[in-house]
Amino acid sequence: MLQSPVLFFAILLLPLVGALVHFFVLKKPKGYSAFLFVFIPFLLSCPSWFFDQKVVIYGFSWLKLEGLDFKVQFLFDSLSNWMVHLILGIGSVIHLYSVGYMAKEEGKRRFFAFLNLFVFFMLVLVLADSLWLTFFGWEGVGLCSYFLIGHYANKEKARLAANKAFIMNRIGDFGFLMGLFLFFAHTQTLEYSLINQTLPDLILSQKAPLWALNLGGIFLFWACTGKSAQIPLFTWLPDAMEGPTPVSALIHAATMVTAGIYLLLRLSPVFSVLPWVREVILYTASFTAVLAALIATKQWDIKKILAYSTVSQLGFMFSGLALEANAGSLFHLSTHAFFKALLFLTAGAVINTLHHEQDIRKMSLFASFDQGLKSKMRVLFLMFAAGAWCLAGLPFGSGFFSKEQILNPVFLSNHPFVFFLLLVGSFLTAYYIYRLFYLVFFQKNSSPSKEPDIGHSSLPALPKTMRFSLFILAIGSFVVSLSNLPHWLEFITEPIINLRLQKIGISPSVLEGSFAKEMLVTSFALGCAVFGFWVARFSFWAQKKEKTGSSSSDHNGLRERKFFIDEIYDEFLVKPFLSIGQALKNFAEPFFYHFPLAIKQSFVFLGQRLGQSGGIFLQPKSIQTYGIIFTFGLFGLVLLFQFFVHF
Amino acid sequence: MDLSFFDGSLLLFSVLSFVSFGFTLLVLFHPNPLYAAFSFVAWLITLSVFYLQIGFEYLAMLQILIYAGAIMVLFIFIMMLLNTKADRDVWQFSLKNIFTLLPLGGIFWMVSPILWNFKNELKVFPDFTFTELQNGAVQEKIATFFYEKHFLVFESLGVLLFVGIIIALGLTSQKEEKN
Amino acid sequence: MHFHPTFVPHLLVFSFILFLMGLYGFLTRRSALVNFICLEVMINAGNLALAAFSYQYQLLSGVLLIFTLIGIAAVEAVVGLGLIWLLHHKTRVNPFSPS
Repeated sequence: MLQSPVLFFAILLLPLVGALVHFFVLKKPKGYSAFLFVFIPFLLSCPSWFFDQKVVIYGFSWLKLEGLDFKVQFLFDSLSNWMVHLILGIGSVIHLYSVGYMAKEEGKRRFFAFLNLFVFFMLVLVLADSLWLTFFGWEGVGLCSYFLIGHYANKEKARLAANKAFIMNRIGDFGFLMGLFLFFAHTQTLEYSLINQTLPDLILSQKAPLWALNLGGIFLFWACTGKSAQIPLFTWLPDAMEGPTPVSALIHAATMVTAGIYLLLRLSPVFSVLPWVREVILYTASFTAVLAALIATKQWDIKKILAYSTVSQLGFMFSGLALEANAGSLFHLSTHAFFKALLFLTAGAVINTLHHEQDIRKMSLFASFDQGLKSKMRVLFLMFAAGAWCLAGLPFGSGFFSKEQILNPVFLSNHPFVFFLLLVGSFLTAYYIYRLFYLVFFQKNSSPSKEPDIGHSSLPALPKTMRFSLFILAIGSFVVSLSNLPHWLEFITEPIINLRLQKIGISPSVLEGSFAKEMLVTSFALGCAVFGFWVARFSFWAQKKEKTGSSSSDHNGLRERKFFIDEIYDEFLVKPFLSIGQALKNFAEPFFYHFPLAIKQSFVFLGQRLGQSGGIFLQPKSIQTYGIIFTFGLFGLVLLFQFFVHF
Repeated sequence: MDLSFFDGSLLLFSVLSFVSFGFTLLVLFHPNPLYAAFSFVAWLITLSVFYLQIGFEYLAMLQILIYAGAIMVLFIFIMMLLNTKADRDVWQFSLKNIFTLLPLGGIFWMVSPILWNFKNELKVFPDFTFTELQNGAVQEKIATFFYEKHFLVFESLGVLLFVGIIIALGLTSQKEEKN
Repeated sequence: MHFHPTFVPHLLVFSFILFLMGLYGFLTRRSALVNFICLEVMINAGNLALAAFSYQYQLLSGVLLIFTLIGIAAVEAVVGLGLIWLLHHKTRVNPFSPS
């Protein structure tokens, strides 16, 4: 089916065409066209769900040097197939949602254009057959995210956030390139199939120095920390919430941040023989998971909580990858895409409905006095409940299945501390999301009844497109758990992800344990999740009884101030960098600016003086005088000629 | 090629060169522009004799017909039109003249050895032979060369002349302003 | 009486002398018309050199170029004289006179 290149290029290029159409043709798009440019490729890619084959499609040769041939070539195997479905499916749902969300906003044309362009670059990223083409998509999604985060360009915070995101991404890109170079130096090729074959051989037979390939792996992980927001390059993701909510959902929950996971999955044969690199990834990711979750427990902006949640969940995914639980990571990526997008879009709907209020302490002002917002926003309440259930890992939500498939290998490997950290992370996940849930939907209006209008007036209704998209995502969040069911549920359907990864030679999971151990891990995870849920519930009810409002909490605590990481970066990295620049400028300015300026001034002065006094001999007064000077020049030329040429 | 060395060709060349040199001096230094123009005509005639001596009779005829006959007559017409005075341009000894001579003299001094040592080292397919030059049979070859092989040059020259006429008409047919 | 090939350098040097004299006159004369005549002297000196080369190498391309140059000089004379006439008629100014 998909051997036909036409179909393939239609899928790949339609979003690009959509972006160009939006840039150059459409004047006032409503967004339905952007939705079609993503939905039609999704429909075109549906047949490949059933015909799961490996296809290599050759585009053209980008650069040909002696012995090297950089080909624009696309690889459509099970992994990229899965990612394409995910990107296009969730992408089209989010496009549909943004039709309703952006209905009253400005700048729709460039919004939809960049949204389409983003999908195109993401497709290039996952369909590329070589590292450099992936890098092209990698940079492209970074660029589009810059434009989309800074969509509200008149807000300074948005501009700064866009800058921060792009610069941090760029720092990561440096790592990508260094890793790419190091790998290339040993394999002379950048194609995945060849790298995955030759590099492990080189390492195992010790023909290549291990330190160089370890360094390359670390550099590639550095790129992943930049793109997928791990320690230390994660601070851009919460700031990126300045962009419109569909952007946060698409880019920072479902697709772009998963690019790092995809990269490591693609190169998993290589990483499987670099155990030291995987150790580094494991510890970094698990620390990130816990740190981000801790910060999320004390944030008051609904979108920032979800942003830190994304960082934390990505930490889970990387931990799974570090222990070669590839199927588990991919499964968690997919389930996370669904329920995080659901949560973000619901949050966006909540924010829109409540007149752009993002602080969860103030959202209760819109509620009634006897009941929380759940009675006024029933649909959103249900959607959020579904998303929260899945995220927390409560029984039979999709997060329950996927998190367990990551925690299981962690338990089986000999890393008790990491297992402990991830359990703490699960606990905190449930805690922060239910804290958010209760504070938004259950908090009664406790303001003195000076403004009853806000509480009792009816809130604007939800646009149909938004409601429909949320429904799709909610259903999807639960259905996606069918894609990789654990052993004891395999009678329902076989684990699709496992099988597909096996098909392309990536081992779904290296560490396999007994059923009893798996049940032990499941019970631990479930216990932490339920414990987190109850702690959140309990503290909410306890706080309500005190009736002290939000003044009792410590506003300058560590967690609330994000552990001061932004401030540390600013003090120790940004300021020295800027001052070095200033010092260089001070050092170089006399030579590059003042000195040429002085020369120019002297010429100007000379010309003025000569002009004033007549300057007869320098300015020919007639053509003949000019001609005489010309002959002098000619004479000089002939003189030179005599010296250098001999007859 | 069996031309005798002392058959007077060098004599003719020397005499001709002196005469032409004299006419050049007249052109350069005569105060009356009309006389300068006439001496230029004479100069052109000596040049044609040079061409005759070489053997390009057709070229010599063309030179007299076109240059001396048409262009210089045009010059003289313009002089009559503009009423150039006789004592307009008396040569004055000024620094400018010496200044001009110096570089020119220097250039001459340096380039002429190169020209003096000019040797024929190129062996190409000749278009004519010296006997043909002497017989006068080269004129037919010149004609064929110009009017058959390189006809485009001929035609483009015609176009160029036509353009020149138009330019001249455009320049000179200005409406007179009543001052 | 015909020209001997050994005397080609003589002819070349002579044409060069004529050229330089024409250049001197061009740079020195103060009347516009006579300046123009010196320009023509230069062009014809170049023609003479071309004829010498054409004789030396026994090629007719030199003669072709001479024809072309004669034609071009004609057109140039026409245009230049028109301009001089225009200048004179309009402004009574000699572009080469000292002022």
